Amino acid sequence: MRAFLFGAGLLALTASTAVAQSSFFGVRGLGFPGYGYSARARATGGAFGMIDPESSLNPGALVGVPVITATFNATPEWRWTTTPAGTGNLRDTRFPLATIGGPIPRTPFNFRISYSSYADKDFALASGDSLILRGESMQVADTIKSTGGMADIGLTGAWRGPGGWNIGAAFHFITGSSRLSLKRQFSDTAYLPVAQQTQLSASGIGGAIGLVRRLAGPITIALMARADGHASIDVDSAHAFNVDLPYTLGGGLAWRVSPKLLIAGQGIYQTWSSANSGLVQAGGVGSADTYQASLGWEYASHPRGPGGYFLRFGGHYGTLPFYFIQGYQPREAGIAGGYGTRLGRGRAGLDFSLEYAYRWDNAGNTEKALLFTTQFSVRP
Amino acid sequence: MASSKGSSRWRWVAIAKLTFVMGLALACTEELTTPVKCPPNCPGSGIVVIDTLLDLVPGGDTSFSGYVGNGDGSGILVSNNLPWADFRALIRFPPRPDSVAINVDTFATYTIDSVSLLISLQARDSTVGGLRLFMYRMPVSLDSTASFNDVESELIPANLIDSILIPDSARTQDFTVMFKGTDLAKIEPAPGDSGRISIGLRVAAGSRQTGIRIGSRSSPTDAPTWTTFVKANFPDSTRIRRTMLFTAEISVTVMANPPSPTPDQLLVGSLPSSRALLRFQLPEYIRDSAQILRATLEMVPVGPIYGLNGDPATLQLMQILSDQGAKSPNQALSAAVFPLPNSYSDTVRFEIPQLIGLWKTTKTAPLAVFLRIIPEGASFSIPIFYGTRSPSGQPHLRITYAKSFDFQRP
Repeated sequence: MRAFLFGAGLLALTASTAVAQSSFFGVRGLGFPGYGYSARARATGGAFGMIDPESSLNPGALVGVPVITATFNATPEWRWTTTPAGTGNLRDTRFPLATIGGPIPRTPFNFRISYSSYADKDFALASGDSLILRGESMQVADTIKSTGGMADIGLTGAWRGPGGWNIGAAFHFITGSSRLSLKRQFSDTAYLPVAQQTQLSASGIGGAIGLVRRLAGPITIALMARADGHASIDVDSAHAFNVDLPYTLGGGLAWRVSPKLLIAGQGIYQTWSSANSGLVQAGGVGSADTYQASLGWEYASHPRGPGGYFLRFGGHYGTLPFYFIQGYQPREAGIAGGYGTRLGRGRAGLDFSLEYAYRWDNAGNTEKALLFTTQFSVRP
Repeated sequence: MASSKGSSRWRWVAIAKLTFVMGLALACTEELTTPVKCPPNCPGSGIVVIDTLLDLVPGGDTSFSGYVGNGDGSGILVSNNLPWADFRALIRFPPRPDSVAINVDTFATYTIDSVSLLISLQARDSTVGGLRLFMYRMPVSLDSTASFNDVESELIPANLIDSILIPDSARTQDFTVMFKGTDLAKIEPAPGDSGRISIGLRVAAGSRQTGIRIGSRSSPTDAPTWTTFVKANFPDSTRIRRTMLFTAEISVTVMANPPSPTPDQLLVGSLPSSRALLRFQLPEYIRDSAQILRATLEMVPVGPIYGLNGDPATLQLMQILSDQGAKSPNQALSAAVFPLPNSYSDTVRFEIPQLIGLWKTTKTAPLAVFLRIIPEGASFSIPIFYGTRSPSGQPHLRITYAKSFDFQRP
C-alpha cells in the first residue's frame, strides 16, 4: 500500500510536467508523438515496447508485472537542430512516463495507472526578418514559445488467461494544454514589442486492446490495437476545432535465444492521416500515416535471480506524422543502449538508456538528439 | 557476509536517490530556442503588423483661452523686436503708506533713505551679449488690460528711470537697483497715485533681436519687489529705522501683434494661455483585437514655431478625465511631451501608445486630450496648428498595431 501511495504521489508530482522528449519536429500539428516506452524499451530502440510490462504501449503486456510496481522516468536530452535559418543547440529535461500498477491479489488480473506523453508541444522558435514601417526599414526578432502538450492518462487492466493468453485492455484520457506565447522585438525602440499569448487545450478519449502470448518454444508474440477518437481543441476555453486521432496497430515478436539473451522486434503503424483534414481546415500543413520498426536485444546476467544486471541494445527507423512542408514527411532513425539492475532483492530497480536519434525531412530540417533516460522503479 | 550485502544495498539506494535528485535538478534547466524560417517552420499565420492613419473627430477640436492669465504664469517676457512677436513688461506695485508702524498701535511719518527695485532674471539667450534691461516710469493707470501700444508709448527717454547691464555670464540672477539722494525722485510715487508706482521694462542688445524672461508676481521666489528704507519720525532713535517691502500687484506681458488664428486652427500658448482640446475616435477593430505597437499624434504647424534660444518650451498632452469642453478636468501627469526647438516647422509628433492602450482597456474614459505649452503663460513660443476643420494639414493619429496572432493554426 505504501508503495502504491508513493507511486500515486509521483504521478501527482509529474501531472503537469510529464511529457516525452521534445523535438523540433513537434512544432507543427499536434506535437511530437510519444509511445509510452519505459527505459528498458527505449534502450532497445523501442523493440521491447510491445512485450515490456513497464511500458504503457501494449495493455496485454501488463500481466508481466509480478508485484505492485511504481516507475518514474526522467529524460534529460541534448539536441542539435538545423533549419534553413541556422543551427540551435538545445537542452531540456522531460518526464516521459510514470506508472503504478500490479496484480490484483487472488485474481488473474493486473491493473495499472499510467501517465505518459501523447504529443509533446514544447518548443521555442526564433526568427528574424526585416520590414518597412512608416517608410523606415528595420529589423525584427520574433520568438514563439510553447510549453505543454497532450498527455495520456491510461487505466489498464490485463488478464492472465489459460494457455498463455495474456490479454489486456486500456482506457485512455487524452488531455493537456499548451501555453503559447509570441514576442516580436523591433530594432527601432519607438515600437513596443509584440507580446501575445494563448492557451490551447486538447481533450479526447481512446481505448486499446492487446495481447501477449508465448508460442511454441522460445517465441512470444505481442499484438495491440488502439483507437483514439478525436481531440477537441480549445483556444482560451473556446472551442476551435476537432482533429481526428489515429488508430494504432502494433505487432511484436520476441525470441529467447538463451536464458540470458532475448531478441525482439516490433512494428507500429499509426493512421495519423486521419488528422490531416482537421489540421488543414484549421490552417495547418497536414499529417500522414506513420510507422516505426525496431529491433533490439537484452542480455541478463542472472536471469533467474533478483540480482545481476541487464545490458540492452537496439535501433529503430520510422516516420513522423506532421509536416513542415506538404510532401516532405519527417523521418527518424536511432540507436540506443542501456543498463539495468535490480536492488534490494528486486524491490527496486534502476534502468538507464542512452539514445541517439536523427530526424530529417528532406526540406532542410534535421535534428540530432541524445537522450539519457533514468527509470527508477519500486516493488514493495 | 550479511554486513557486506547490507552496505552494498545502501550504496545502490544512495545511487538511486542521487540519480533521482539529479533528474529533478536537470529539469530546471532548459534551452529550447531553435532558429527557424517562418513560414514554414512556425505555427500560426505569421505576425501581421499594420500601420494606419486615423482621423480625429471631425470638428471635435477647439482652442480655448484663459487657462493662465496674463501675469499669472511663473514669468513675464521682455524682448527686443523678435521676428515672430515682441514683448514688453509692465509691473505695478501696491500703494506705499505714508506712515510706518513702530508698534502694533503706533505709527509715525518717515523720511526715505533709499529705495531698491529687485528684478529676477529667469532665462535669456546666452548667445546674445551686451544685454541691458531698461526701466521706465509708467502711469499707474495702466493695468493688466494695457495694450502693447499703451506701454510702448510710455517707454521714452523722458520716463527712463535706470537700466541694468546684464552680464554675459548671467543665466539666472537677481538684480537690485538702488536709488538714493536726488535719484529718489525717479522712483517716488507721484501725487495722486495713492503711493503706487508702475515700471515698464524693455530690453536691448545693440541691434540684435533677443529677449529675457523675468520673475512675475506669481513666481514664489522670483517676484519683483520694491523696497523702501526709511527713518521714522519717532523719538526713540533705536526704533526709527524701518523697511517697507512690496511685491508687485500687477506684472503683465504685453505683446505686439498677438496671434490671430482662424477658427479652423488651434492656438496653443500665448497670453492669456490657450489650450487645444483634441478628440479622438478608435475603430472597434483596434479597440477589440489590436495590440498597439506605436501610436503617434501628428500635428502640422501653420507656420514655423519660434522660441527663444536658451528658454526652451515644451508641448504637453494632458489626458482628460471627463469631457466637459473647455472646463474638462485633466490628469496631472502628462501623457506625452514634445520639446520645441528654437525654430521648428516640421510636423509635431507625440508618441502616445500608453494612452491609446489605456483607452482600449478603459471603455468609459473620454478619448480626448488637452494640448498646452510649458511654461504656460510665460513662453516665447506660440504654436498654431491646423485643426480638423482645416482644408489641409489636419491632425492625425498614426497607429501601428499587431493583429491577434493565429495561434491555433497547427
